Amino acid sequence: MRYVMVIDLKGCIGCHTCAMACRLANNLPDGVWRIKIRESEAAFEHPVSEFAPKSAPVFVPVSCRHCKDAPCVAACSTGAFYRRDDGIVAVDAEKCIGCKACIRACSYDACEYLDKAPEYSTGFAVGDADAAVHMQNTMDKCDFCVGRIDQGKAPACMEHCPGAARWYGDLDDPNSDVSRLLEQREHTSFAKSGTEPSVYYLI
Amino acid sequence: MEDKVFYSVCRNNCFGGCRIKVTVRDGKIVKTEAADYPDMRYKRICSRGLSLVQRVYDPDRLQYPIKRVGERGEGKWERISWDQAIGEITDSWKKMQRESGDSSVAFFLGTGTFSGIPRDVTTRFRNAIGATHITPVWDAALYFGLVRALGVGEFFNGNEYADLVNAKTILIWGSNPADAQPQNWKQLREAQMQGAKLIVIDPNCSATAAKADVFVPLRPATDAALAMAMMNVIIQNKWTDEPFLKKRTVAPFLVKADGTYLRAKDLAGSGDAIVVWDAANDRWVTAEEAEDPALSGKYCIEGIKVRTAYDLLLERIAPYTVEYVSELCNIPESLIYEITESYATRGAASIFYGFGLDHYSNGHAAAFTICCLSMLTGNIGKPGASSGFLQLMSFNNLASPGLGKPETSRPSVTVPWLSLPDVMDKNEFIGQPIHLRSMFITMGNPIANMTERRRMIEAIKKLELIVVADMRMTDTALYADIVLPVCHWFECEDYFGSVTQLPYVFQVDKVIEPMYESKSDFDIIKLLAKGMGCGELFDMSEQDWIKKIMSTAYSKAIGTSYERLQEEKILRGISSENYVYGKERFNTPTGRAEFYLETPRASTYYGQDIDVDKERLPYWEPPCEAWAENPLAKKYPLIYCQDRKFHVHTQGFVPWINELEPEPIVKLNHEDAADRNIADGDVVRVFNDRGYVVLKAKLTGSLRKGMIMIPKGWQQWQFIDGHYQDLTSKAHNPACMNNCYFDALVEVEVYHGQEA
Repeated sequence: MRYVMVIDLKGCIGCHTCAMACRLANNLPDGVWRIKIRESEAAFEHPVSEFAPKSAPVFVPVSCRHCKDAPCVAACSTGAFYRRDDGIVAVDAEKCIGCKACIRACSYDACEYLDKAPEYSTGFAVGDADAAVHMQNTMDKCDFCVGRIDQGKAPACMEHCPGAARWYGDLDDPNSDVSRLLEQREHTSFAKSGTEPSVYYLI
Repeated sequence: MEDKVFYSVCRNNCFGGCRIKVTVRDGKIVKTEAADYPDMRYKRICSRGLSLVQRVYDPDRLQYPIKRVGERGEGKWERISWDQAIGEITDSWKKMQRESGDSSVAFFLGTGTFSGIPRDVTTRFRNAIGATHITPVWDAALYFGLVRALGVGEFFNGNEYADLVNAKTILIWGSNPADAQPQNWKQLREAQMQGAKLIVIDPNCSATAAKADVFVPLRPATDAALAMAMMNVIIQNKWTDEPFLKKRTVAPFLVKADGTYLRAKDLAGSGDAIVVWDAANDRWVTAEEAEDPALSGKYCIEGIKVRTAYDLLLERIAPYTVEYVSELCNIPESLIYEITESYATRGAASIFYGFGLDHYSNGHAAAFTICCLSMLTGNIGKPGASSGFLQLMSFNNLASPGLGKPETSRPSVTVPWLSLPDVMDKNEFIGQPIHLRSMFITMGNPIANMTERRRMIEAIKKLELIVVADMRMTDTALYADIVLPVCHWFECEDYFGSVTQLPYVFQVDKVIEPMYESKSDFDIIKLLAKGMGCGELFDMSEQDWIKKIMSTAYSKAIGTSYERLQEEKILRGISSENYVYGKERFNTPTGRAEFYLETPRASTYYGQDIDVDKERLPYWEPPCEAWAENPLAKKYPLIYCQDRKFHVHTQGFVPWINELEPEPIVKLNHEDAADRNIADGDVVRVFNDRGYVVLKAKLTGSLRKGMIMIPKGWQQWQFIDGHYQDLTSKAHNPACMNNCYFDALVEVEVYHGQEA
């Protein structure tokens, strides 16, 4: 069993539905996003005319890559970061002392350090009933919605994508959606320093 | 404590009306998610729907009725009780109607609250007291153009969106669903993944255009010209569907010199039947009897000279050659051929329309002309071939006797919003005296969302009493005398099934009690009606009203009922599965798709004349302001435009969304910015003779040179200075009164604190 995510860059329209679903389900504090959408522009090879637009917007959703060889797990001084057998890299926030070794180790900007006491503009906890409690001086990152996964449900970001751009599943299962997509489509994992990310991007 | 689940709806009016699953924990709403549908292809939600919790618990919600204490627009208020508010309002209204007639009190019912009961009962109350009906006249052009061509059915005049997967080619014209309607984009993307070619026609490379198979970056407001060039390509290549033209459109109808159709009663026959020419037998026959009518030809029948409507169309579109249009629209000839070939020869093709077409003064002609294009290839009325707009009409009972129109209705006057400045000045409308003294503005925010804001503020300031009902302070409520706090959508019961683009009617639960002293629109109307002496017309519960709605002849005819709605919560709201509009008939005066209009009229009459001959057929003319050849362009060379992503008009300002879009911006093309020494992030002033707005600039290569783009939805206190709605113009085409939001020219400069 190896959980991976597959994100179809041909489908991502930068709508932030995934980012918002994650925000809500996980009751993330003010200012904290586990999913960020990087926006850039791809120049047209041949713009249609002098006045026509010269580039198209490009959207790439990024979050923790749940690396097979996770440098954050190796760097974590307390064992708060751990990798499950199914490939998910999770954090036990109770053990986190906020040393930020994971931030220094990660090439993907996956971790966010909660330097302030978490604030919630709603004034109370929202989202899933078992959403993690967020604590000051700890790390926060995407945990593949382990709580939902263990209940047989999809991660929050996977539920509503209007671009049909987000997929997850077991890469060890040749019949899974993710196996099928990676076989059919050109892809990259934007891998850095041999960490073997588990998030693949269809291009 | 177990979570409780309820089912409500998102009322933003992005045209989605998504059914929402609402979770309550310990008495508080904690989560909103997409709810299920009988057809799960419709299950969807967006970032706005997912952040609705924050709207319920918005600290800026109006908590109690307030009354103005300072000057209008100053924002100084005192708290008053409901009793005092209702008493003052209804005492004033009764006095005004006694002194100056029923029409002295006016109601403006906006479209900012997508709803069932609120719209129904507000309309019922308005009719009960004979109040003047102020119509919004926004989005008028797209509707008008399409309705002229195809008429309106139970779901308006397109195929349901799940049908898009059946299209081989889809023209996305003047629309940016990836940003504005992700729920509709989902259907388009599904179609694309199943092989449909998406052709996006837009001056700018929007998020939708970025995903297109073919992007057509035409010059703004030249869409009708492109459509006519495409028609010429289709005709030249013999890609026309002649049987469709002959049987399902007005093409073979014979037109007399006066522009009307030749009818049996004009000849030796009798009756109103329109006649056509049966070439094989060298005689006239009625259109319905004809097996193979002539598409072309000049005839002289019993001394009456006639031509086919089809020939009149060919004549009208003849000047729009590919060569001419390539130059006019600023796109290569090869691109025009390419998209026409895709549209005409790959099988079923659909056109997905948007309001980008609507927002120029030539918008109704654009919509009409593009729809006529679809008639040539018979790409309407079939699976995968849709060429209209969607809006559920079947449970729209605003004009129904006993419902929107109560048993004791008083006659009333209709005045379009854009006529207000004149009406307030002259106390007259179309030659009839009318003295508007009070306006009740509900479910909308016209001062923020209509053109020429400053002019409209001056107009409404002349009223003696302005009453606004809303959840929050808005640009409009700022000018009110009394503001009534409306509860949130999740705090009242309703049915949802009118105006939506979903083929469903569903029960909307009351999830929590109204917070603070807020009341539902229904309860507010009940109080006002009681104060006006017609309370008995509203002496019923929400369920009582829903029972009435579900007991109409239409409801019975399609097999829905109140009992079924209670049991199943969500029912199919139209008469068939896989809904296709116009399979056998179009709801036009002739029963056919009309590219020729026998008796064209203006969409809104305010005493004006129209050019009947011009309006009979497709046409293109430049927009009234946003055109480089306009002398005004020497002073204001940039075309104004708007888009929307995280907000829906002025709704959705919640903390999560604000983190993504923290302030108003104006998007500028790199070159236009460089010409003006504007760097990314600079504060700039956008201005023209009508007004100005000061906000931050963001540079992008995805904008057309010569255009600016200001994301919609901001209100006065959110700009550094000014307001973007001060830049827009209320000028419009006399045939179609409309808010032409994009039909404006502006200039931009770096802001150094300069005075307006």
